[in-house]
Amino acid sequence: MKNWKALLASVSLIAFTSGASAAELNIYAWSGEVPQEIVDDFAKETGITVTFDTYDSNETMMAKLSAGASGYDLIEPSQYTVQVLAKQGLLQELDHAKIPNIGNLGAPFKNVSFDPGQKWSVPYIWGTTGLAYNEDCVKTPPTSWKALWDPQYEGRIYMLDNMLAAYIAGLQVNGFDAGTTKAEEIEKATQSLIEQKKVLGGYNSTNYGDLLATGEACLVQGWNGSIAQVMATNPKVKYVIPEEGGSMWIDGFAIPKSAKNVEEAYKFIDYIMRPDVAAKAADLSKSATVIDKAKELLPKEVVENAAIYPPEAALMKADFILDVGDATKLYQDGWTKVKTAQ
Amino acid sequence: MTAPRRGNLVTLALLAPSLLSAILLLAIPILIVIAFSFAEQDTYGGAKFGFTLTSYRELFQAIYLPIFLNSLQLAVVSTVICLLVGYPIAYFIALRAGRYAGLLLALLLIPFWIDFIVRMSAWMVLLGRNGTINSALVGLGVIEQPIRMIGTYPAVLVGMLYAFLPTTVLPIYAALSGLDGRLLEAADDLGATPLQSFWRITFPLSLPGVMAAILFVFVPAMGVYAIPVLLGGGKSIILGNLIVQLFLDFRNIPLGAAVSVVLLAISSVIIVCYMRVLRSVEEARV
Repeated sequence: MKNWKALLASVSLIAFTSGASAAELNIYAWSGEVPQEIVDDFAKETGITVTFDTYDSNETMMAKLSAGASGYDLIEPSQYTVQVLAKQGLLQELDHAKIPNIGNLGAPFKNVSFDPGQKWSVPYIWGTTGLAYNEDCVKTPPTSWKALWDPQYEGRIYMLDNMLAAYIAGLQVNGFDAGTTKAEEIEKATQSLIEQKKVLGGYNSTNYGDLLATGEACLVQGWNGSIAQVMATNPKVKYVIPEEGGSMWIDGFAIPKSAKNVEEAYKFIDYIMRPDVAAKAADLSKSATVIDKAKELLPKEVVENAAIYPPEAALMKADFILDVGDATKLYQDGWTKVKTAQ
Repeated sequence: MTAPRRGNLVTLALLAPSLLSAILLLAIPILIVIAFSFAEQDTYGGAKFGFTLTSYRELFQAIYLPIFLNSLQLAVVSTVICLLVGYPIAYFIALRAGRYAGLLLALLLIPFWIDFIVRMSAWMVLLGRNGTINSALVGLGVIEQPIRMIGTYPAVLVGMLYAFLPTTVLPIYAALSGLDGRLLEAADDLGATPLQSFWRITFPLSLPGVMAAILFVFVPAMGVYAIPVLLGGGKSIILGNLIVQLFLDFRNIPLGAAVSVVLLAISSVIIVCYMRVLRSVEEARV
């Protein structure tokens, strides 16, 4: 009898506490870009219970959103993804009155081409797609995507396991612009990527930084943030934006139409745009912040790290990938050919 | 209420939980996948319900054929390797290990309490360029330079063997442990060599177990995903990867669903064949 009472008491306690904690926030963000510490700080400061999941490609996130109620209140799409999601009608129009800190955005990020006036998204960090190498096995610093086709590193070259990213290298190595919509250029790039498979160790967009740091890989295609995180502990790892241009990207926050905890999502966006928080996030994720006042707070070694803040000359040549529309199908067929080639 | 009717009701009540979960968690999801495979795809990755064979038509294009062949080949090779390694282990545990049999079986199963991805990541550490195996071989002077193992086909096979070994050993062990020892003694008395009694008594009697093992390895091996990605570098795409790519990278839900349906059909055919063969084996024994 006593046991029954105890059981009843604990059950009602669970029901009570779960009913009481109303404020929740479900975040779905790029892996490695929103530090867990920032999420914990936010939860502590606001009392909101945060569930935090990550993805390693925009497409995965889009697939979950377009499949219906995903349960996420806040997502972190890249520039072209904002365009696609907005066209699909999957985003909420942002109410700037709920984001007082939006004024902290640096000038170049106030009116971005993919989302004029921050109608659907607010930029969070920016970075580049380039190549990285381990000095232990690559003696002459590479300057071109061509290094990723070099047979002397056979089996120790890794490409991002991401269609559009792989095509940045495939297109630019042929002298084309990344994000082209021309069928013959995409076809040429497909052939180059098939050719490349002979020397590849594999495709990887999750732990390629570790593969490089341990020497499993000599050369990888990568996003600068993940590489800069590895560089912090292994000085043998170097990052370069190839002379063909590479690409620049901006990842920002957006609120899905299906979001249930909209107020909490706004709170998080506003929180992470506070200069001190943005600085901490940028420092921990080794990424470039879009908040000018946050950049001033960053330690010298972050601001002077060319992998995080590349020289302007290198950025001028970088492509900025926007929604390729119907050409998506051309990329997809090409990528399937690349993946199935022996 | 008559006794038999009551018996039926009791049976139904006892079956209800598993019946209900089978319907909710198995039948309905499969029906949803089948419905999606006939749906239409819009430009931005949405799926509109309807009835179109577009996805199936697209699936039978030349570009996807190598993926089917790759998967089939990987499944066949993995099954053969698992049997070659698993049979002797099962034989030893069932007929030679004596009182250590239970301990050996437990040792075989304990690693499987650990999450699958963690176990595969452990293999990445073992097989890496600076990993345990390379360091040991270099340290012993067997090789001068570390050899590349991650991102190769043999590494995938090692992963497959490791993942599917228990499901190979257990059914064969079960078949062998029920073996009547007097049959072997009789064979011995009648002058059969150990090899003869193995081929004419032990092996035929273990066949139902061997066939269950084939089924348990081959069917899941057709749809495996993580092992080729983690240990094989994701370079050779098989059905499991294709499904992930279609759903998550290309947002082509109808085509992804169609591939899943075809995979399901292949597995069902294999299971039906298995049951036919099993029946004929058992009838032959009677």
